Amino acid sequence: MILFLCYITTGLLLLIRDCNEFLSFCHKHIFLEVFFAMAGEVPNLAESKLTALVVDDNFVNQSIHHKLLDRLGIKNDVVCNGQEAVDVHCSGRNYDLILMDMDMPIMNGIQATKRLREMGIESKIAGVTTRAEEEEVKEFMEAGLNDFQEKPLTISKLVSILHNLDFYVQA
Amino acid sequence: MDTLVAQLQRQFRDYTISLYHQGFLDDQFTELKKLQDECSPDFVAEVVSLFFEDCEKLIGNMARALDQTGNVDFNLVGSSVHQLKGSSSSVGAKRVKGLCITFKECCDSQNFEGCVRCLQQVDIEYKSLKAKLQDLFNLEQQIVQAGGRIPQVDI
Repeated sequence: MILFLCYITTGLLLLIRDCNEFLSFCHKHIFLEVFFAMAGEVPNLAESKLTALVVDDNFVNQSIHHKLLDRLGIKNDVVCNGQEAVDVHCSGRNYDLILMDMDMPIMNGIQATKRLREMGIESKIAGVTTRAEEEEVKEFMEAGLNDFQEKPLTISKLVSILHNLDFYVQA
Repeated sequence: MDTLVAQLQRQFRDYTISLYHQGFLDDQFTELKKLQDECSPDFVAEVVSLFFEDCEKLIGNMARALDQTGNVDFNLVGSSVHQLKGSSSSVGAKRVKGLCITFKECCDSQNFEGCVRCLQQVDIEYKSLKAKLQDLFNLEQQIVQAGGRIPQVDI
């Protein structure tokens, strides 16, 4: 009986400890921010100091994606094609997140993603394209993407990308 | 009696709703409006301006490609159509995007007459949208100049 009570007490203590850890984890994680976003509020991730690179040859999309990231407090740079994305990494820059278009001149998104992975770039890469055929998406994913969203991008789609890619707020 | 601001605001509301109901704009335009703030009060106008520059450039490319009678590169035309579909989708230009879908099908089936027809329609449609959005932005300016706030319009 005493052993049984000890067992139950230990179990409860472990559960309380795990709950505390879980709540602490949530506090540091942007999960709650994302949760509020999905409930209609726009999260501000400026404190997380995330950085992003927009890779798109279209000026309209460059402008929109840049603004979307700005709105979420994510500092970001913009390049016009896959080759420029590779070049910027060769120059020593690194980003937490890369929003990669598929169809671009000089070097497309599939080629650029493969090249970046070959270079050892471990940034999270999210493919964003109007192409939504299963085979096209599969080819893009297999190049080394971490996530994929169909254009046009919106605040909620971008928040979904951040949620899927498990970004953390730095303590 | 309605003040000038109230009249302008009502006009703005009605005009905005009509653009959505007539299929000129879709939800993506609403998403663009959400991104406009005090730091970038002209964001929508700027993006839309980029879109219309894109239209001119791409339609020019398509026209030149279709002009090569007997030697039309439908892949080249299709590529420009794909780009226009992308940017029209990004700004919520619903009719232009819809025409691009039909246009792409004509390119894929190498239907020359269909492509020429689509090109003419896309040209008319983007110019029509350009005029209508200019009217909308003018209304916004008039409201602000009259001392009013631009109303949020729920579609």
